[in-house]
Amino acid sequence: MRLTFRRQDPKAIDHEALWLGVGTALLGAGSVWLMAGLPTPGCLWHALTRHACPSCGATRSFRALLRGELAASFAWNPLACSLVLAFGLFAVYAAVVLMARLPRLRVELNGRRESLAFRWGVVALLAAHWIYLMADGR
Amino acid sequence: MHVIHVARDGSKLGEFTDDEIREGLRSGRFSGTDPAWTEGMADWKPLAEWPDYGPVVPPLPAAAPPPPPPWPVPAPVAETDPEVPHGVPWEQREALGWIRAFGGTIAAVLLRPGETFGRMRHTGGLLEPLLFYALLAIPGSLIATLYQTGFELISKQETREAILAGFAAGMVASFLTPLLLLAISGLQHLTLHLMGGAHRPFETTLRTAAYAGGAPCVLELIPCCGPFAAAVWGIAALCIGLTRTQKCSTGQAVIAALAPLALCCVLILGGVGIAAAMGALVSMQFMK
Repeated sequence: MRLTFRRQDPKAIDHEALWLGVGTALLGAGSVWLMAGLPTPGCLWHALTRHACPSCGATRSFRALLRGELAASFAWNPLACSLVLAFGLFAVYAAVVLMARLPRLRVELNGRRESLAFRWGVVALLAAHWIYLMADGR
Repeated sequence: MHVIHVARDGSKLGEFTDDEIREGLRSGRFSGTDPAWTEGMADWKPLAEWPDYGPVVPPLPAAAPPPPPPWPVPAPVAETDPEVPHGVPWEQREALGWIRAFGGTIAAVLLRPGETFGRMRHTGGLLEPLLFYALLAIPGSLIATLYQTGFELISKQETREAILAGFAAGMVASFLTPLLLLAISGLQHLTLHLMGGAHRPFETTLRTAAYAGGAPCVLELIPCCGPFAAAVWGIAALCIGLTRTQKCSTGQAVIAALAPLALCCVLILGGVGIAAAMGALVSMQFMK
């Protein structure tokens, strides 16, 4: 794996602008939805099996994060909490490189082996997270 | 480090170093006709015209067979003229067959949105993209309604009448999704137009929105987080699509794609504000 900084190609998709916009809008819309007290969808998987699904607790985790309760947010759904926090870091980075027109950080995976290791790593992380939620008795 | 961007048929192949380009030209990975660009250049130039790579570009053999197209192309002119895109697989159903064209379009939009929208025809009618959207969005919405109704029936949080009323409303709303797409893409095109980013007609925006919004609906089959994943990827694919088809900047595409969502948030906040104000007024009346 290699980290490089590259100038933005004018014809290429600006991933920093794209994901900053999409992520901010979705988190903003989610915040408005929860603050307005609108209903949140239920989990059919949990209702049927009485076991947690991988996203169980994500809404409560986000709601706790909106209240500034970081520990409670992490306890409800570690992955959802980590993703929102990671997006916060990305948003700061993206805003800085967009405003200052700086080179963009790119992660390069060298070869098929690294690519496969990355994919299986993501699958293993999701599986471990799901096992944790079920073991926690959600 | 000196990085060179290489493209082919209107879509980017990637970013490569000087040595990778030389090796690629020798091995046949790159062609001398592939346009390339690097920092400091005003425009893209075929690799054969680069002073560094001209001698490396091998001459074409006299009887070399033409490379196979990524998708079967009904009109040969589409391959040679970069201004006439090939079209997405869905618009080549006669050559590919319905199932292959349908699955191919879903996979292309989900996995290779930049390349796919770079190939999409900008005009050519609304029926085909709307049919593609309807075939995915209506079942997707019906499945989401069934999941929600199933959850409510099992959890028994609502009365049976309320559950049935919600189910009926969800069924009717599912069949209205193509009409909703028309309204939403109209707002998106208007936003793009106001920012000076609409370089092609409304038809192009609607065609882009139909493919970008339709394909991610397959993710709604996944219970729980599926609809969320579909919404995220639908918006991202639309942004990528608009940058390719309307030739606007990523920022303009993001603002246009999110305009309906922003409007919804404003309406929700406005509704909550009005409700709170009315509640305050009523309580003041009672205080008197």
